[in-house]
Amino acid sequence: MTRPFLSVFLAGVTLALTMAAGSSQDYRRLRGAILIDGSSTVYPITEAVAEEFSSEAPRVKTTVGISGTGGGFKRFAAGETDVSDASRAIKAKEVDACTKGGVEFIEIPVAYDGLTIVLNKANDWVDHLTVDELKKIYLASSSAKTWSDVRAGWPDKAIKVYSPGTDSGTFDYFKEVVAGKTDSIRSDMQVSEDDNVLVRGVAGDVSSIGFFGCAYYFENAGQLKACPIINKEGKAVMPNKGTIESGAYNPFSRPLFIYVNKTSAERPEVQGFIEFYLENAGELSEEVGYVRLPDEVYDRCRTNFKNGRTGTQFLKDGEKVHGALPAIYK
Amino acid sequence: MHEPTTHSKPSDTELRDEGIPKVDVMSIAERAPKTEETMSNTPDTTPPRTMISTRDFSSWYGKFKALHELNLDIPERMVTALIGPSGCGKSTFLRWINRMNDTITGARSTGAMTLGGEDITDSRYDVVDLRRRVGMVFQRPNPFPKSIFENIAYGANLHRKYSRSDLEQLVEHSLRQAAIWDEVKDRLKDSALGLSGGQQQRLCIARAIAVGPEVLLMDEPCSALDPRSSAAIEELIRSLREQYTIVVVTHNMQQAARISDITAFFYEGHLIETNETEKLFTRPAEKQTDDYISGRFG
Amino acid sequence: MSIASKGNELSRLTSAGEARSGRRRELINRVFYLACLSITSIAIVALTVLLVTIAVEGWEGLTPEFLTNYGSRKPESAGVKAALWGSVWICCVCGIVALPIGVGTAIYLEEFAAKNRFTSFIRTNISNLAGVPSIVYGIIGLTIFARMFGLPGIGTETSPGLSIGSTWYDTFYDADGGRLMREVPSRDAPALPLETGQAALFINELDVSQVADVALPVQIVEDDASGFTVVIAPEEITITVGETSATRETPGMLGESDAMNPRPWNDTIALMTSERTLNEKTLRDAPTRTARWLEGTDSLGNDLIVPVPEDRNSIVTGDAGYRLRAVLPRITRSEASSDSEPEKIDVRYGDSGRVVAGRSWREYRVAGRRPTRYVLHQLTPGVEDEPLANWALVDPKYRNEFIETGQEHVVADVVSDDTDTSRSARGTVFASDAVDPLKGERIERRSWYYFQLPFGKGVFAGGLTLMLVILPVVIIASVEALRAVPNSLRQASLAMGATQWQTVRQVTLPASIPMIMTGSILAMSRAIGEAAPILVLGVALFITRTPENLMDQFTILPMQIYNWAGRPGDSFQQLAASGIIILLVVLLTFNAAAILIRHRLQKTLK
Repeated sequence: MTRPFLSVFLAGVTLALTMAAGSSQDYRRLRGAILIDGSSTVYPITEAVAEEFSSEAPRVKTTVGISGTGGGFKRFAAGETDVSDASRAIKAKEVDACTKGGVEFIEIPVAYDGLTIVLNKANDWVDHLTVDELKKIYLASSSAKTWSDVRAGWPDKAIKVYSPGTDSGTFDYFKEVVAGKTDSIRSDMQVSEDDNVLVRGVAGDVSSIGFFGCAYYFENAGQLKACPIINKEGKAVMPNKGTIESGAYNPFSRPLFIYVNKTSAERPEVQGFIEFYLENAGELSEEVGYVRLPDEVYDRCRTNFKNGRTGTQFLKDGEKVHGALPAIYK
Repeated sequence: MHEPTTHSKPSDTELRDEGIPKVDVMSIAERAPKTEETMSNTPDTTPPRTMISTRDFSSWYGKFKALHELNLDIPERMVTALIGPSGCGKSTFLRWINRMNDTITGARSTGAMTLGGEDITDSRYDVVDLRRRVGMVFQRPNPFPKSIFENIAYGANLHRKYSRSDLEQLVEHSLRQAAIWDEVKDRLKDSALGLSGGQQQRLCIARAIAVGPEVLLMDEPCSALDPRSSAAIEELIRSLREQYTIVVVTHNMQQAARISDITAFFYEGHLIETNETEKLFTRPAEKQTDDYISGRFG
Repeated sequence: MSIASKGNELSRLTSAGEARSGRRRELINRVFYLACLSITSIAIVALTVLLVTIAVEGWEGLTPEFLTNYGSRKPESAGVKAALWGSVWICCVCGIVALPIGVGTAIYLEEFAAKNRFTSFIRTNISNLAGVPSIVYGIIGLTIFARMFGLPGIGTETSPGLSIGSTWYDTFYDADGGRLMREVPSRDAPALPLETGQAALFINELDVSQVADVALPVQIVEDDASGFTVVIAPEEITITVGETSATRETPGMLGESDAMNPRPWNDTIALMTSERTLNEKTLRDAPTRTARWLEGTDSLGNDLIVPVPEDRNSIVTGDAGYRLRAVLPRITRSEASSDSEPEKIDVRYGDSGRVVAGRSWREYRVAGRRPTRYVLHQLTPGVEDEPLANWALVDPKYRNEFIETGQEHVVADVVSDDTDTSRSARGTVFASDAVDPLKGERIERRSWYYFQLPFGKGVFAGGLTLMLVILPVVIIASVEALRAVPNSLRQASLAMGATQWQTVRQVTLPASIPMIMTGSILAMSRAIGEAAPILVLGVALFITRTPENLMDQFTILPMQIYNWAGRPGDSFQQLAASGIIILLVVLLTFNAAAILIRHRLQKTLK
């Protein structure tokens, strides 16, 4: 055995090992199909991730549907999809359906969505609103017709109420916060599925009020003004990236999720996709108008995913868990 | 005399007596130029055979009895005219001969109607074959929205497959027979709808005979035409009787007198009287007939 | 009553009513005319304003990229390719299915069926169905076509009870990320490790230091993204190792390559493949060979080299004759080997066995991405790879015995350096982590005729769902068209002894086709704009490919437009407008095609 042979041999081994190490990050070699369906609220984020991922992993065909959170979970529980987008945490009923369908899932929050209560720019009397005041304005059981009915001292002007379509996730979210389970939102509002109509409506009427996703507000911040909301700590908080991320802007900010089928997660292409998702969710969710989660939440989720930690953090003994996301994902 | 040659269905030949000259498409095609000669060979003295015969034939539309116990013999190779006021059942009777009434829901019949000895009211009787043997010309000319050539070829093609040249010959002879060849020979590919009413009706007759029928039914064939065209059709009918048994429904008594050999008078679903045309018009046996032909009603 | 008195009575009656003012009547007539005219004008103006608005807003976005790009979060790079082709596909499916069924039903109802209570009941219901909201049809489509009621044994969309036209592969990766594929009989076939001698090869580099001609029963599988993959047919591959010195006389071809990273002159598996994959063609003579080679690169950047036959033109596109010029390590006889060993040994790709070195043995696995590095896998964990004086290949056919007894059984020669260091390096068996049989990568390839039950949420189910939406309209239009054919034509045909079918086929249908087509065009126009039923069906919105078979996923223009229109920001509104223009163009194209067909049919009638 001669020396040169030895060294060349070792070099060969090293080379091979290096290449092997390099290839684990290489999404190019992944292939297959990933089926995603669910919330149209989360869709822009997932679309952005899928778009970026498709250039990294050209052989992985990702499809993203918009059947809605509930519709998405139905398919997810039947094992039809690999990943389900959700604009809220999974419900106990849906967990049961998953169990029935033999689907184990990994829960991953990906971004915050914030609801912004918007007012006309010329509205100079509202400095902030409490949830109770919002109830007066929006609940069907409330008799408030004018601003003076909401808080003494405000002008005696009729309130013009705007709302997104009742089928939208945004409406559901608002209803859950303001009306809860027992009450219902009034029906004599200006309702539009098209949020641009709401923007125009509120911008054109001084005594109007409306709400929609933060993304719309950030886009149209010039035409409207956001209304500070008194949070649980009793502080008036304006919606912006900082307050949403810190959890100070409550109760009108919510986390958005993806749920991954555990069996699917064993497939390399799904694994690659979720890793890529977590790597880029922060940046891409901001790009499409949502608010990024704190980095430690992403890290935590990455670990959870790697360890295959299944189940939801938002249900404990069948009861809904409340609280800020970083606290839940500690 | 000609031997039956080209029909493939045994029933055709069985139905045909040997003494009867065969009248079918191919034989027309083959010997049309000799028609006169052929016909002249047939002895005029032979007593006419009965082609169509009904016994106690009644017909209903639902609960309405349209024909009452008809007993009528229609002789072969003669023109039989059915006359009578509107609604007397003559058209109904005509439409039973090729069972076009089958297309009307609720139409039914009792009694017997035979064609060449076979009961054609039998539901097992092949209607398609019956209609091939019994052609029909309608009141209004109804050519297909196709070319003149295709109109003639249509019926023939329904029953047989022809070579192109046979088909061309057949079309020519049918059109010649219907005395319209000279008018349309240069525009066979043109739409038949471009012809005048009288020409269209003759085209319809040509179309009917191209299938090779034994009987031709004509339901007021001239009533939608001007007098000149009517005259042409009448002449055609007279010439066609040499080869076909023709049954004509008409309102026009002069026309019936001109073209028919036998005339049957219908009134309110009853066959009142039937006789040789000349006798019926000159010496009607029944008073109703007399009233009708003398214009006292109807 | 005498005639005269009758006449008097009549003239009294005719002048009995009060005379109407002529001017008033004229005025009412005029007003009505103007009302109609203004209503029409309003409609036209509204339509024009709408179209102009859309055109102005969407015109700018109509770039070629808009047609060739897929969905994107960035408005400037978003396109409608998937949606456009999806729409075209489902409309074709919808039209092709709806027309025969619709016209057939109409023919039955109008020409064959007896007019009784049952048929009039059916007729009424068809009219009612035409008014049912399309979303309902979406639900029906989902239940019937996509899921087939979940009947026992029918399976689900993702694991269909019946599928035709799909091939399954197990995929493995070697240490360099090279992909190995092996065909398996079915989705549920048990996964086999690579050691069975059926490993697929994905070969990038070849050494010519020693060449053994190997005819591999390979097949090229078109790969949607990266060109192609070489798949070795599941047959035994035998590479004969022997001393071949001829090719060692090709040093010139080594180029600048060094021992560390040898770049042999032909870097690839020699592939006789379709010319399309040979992007850059250069003809190169190999000095030591009479054969000539055509060199190119595939879309992944892999070099390809094809031996050029005498007649260059005989490289036929799609020719399936592939030749692998495998290069094998030079093996010389060891002093230590026993006498009885064969001169030649058979080594199979994917084989494993044990390496005997001195008194110890190690397991090895022969694997394949680079036959140059004829790999022996060091499987004993924790043991450093170290150069051994004596490596041996173990004849696999002795493996079982060997493993069972554990005794030294050197059947092959020791691999060692020969004369040329670099060459022997490349020719040396060395350890690598070789093939990493990744868990559970079972890949399905679907051919263009792929078919499955249940249909799932593919183009076919989508088209059928839209078919449900428009079927009542098509039937009604066809019934009306057939009714408009004068009855005298039917009578004429029947009276000549035509059967009902002959009459329909040759008279009624040709006469009614123009009206049927007009009705169907209107129905199709409705179908192409429908988003609701397809949304209910649950099809995806973000897709980065176009349908390739009837069961393939798709999305449609209205869904894409709907999504864009609901997003914040003007640029998405513009995209929606551009999408609408494309939708209108597709619509007009379909209409034009239908009108063309109609004219054709009408012409043949004249």
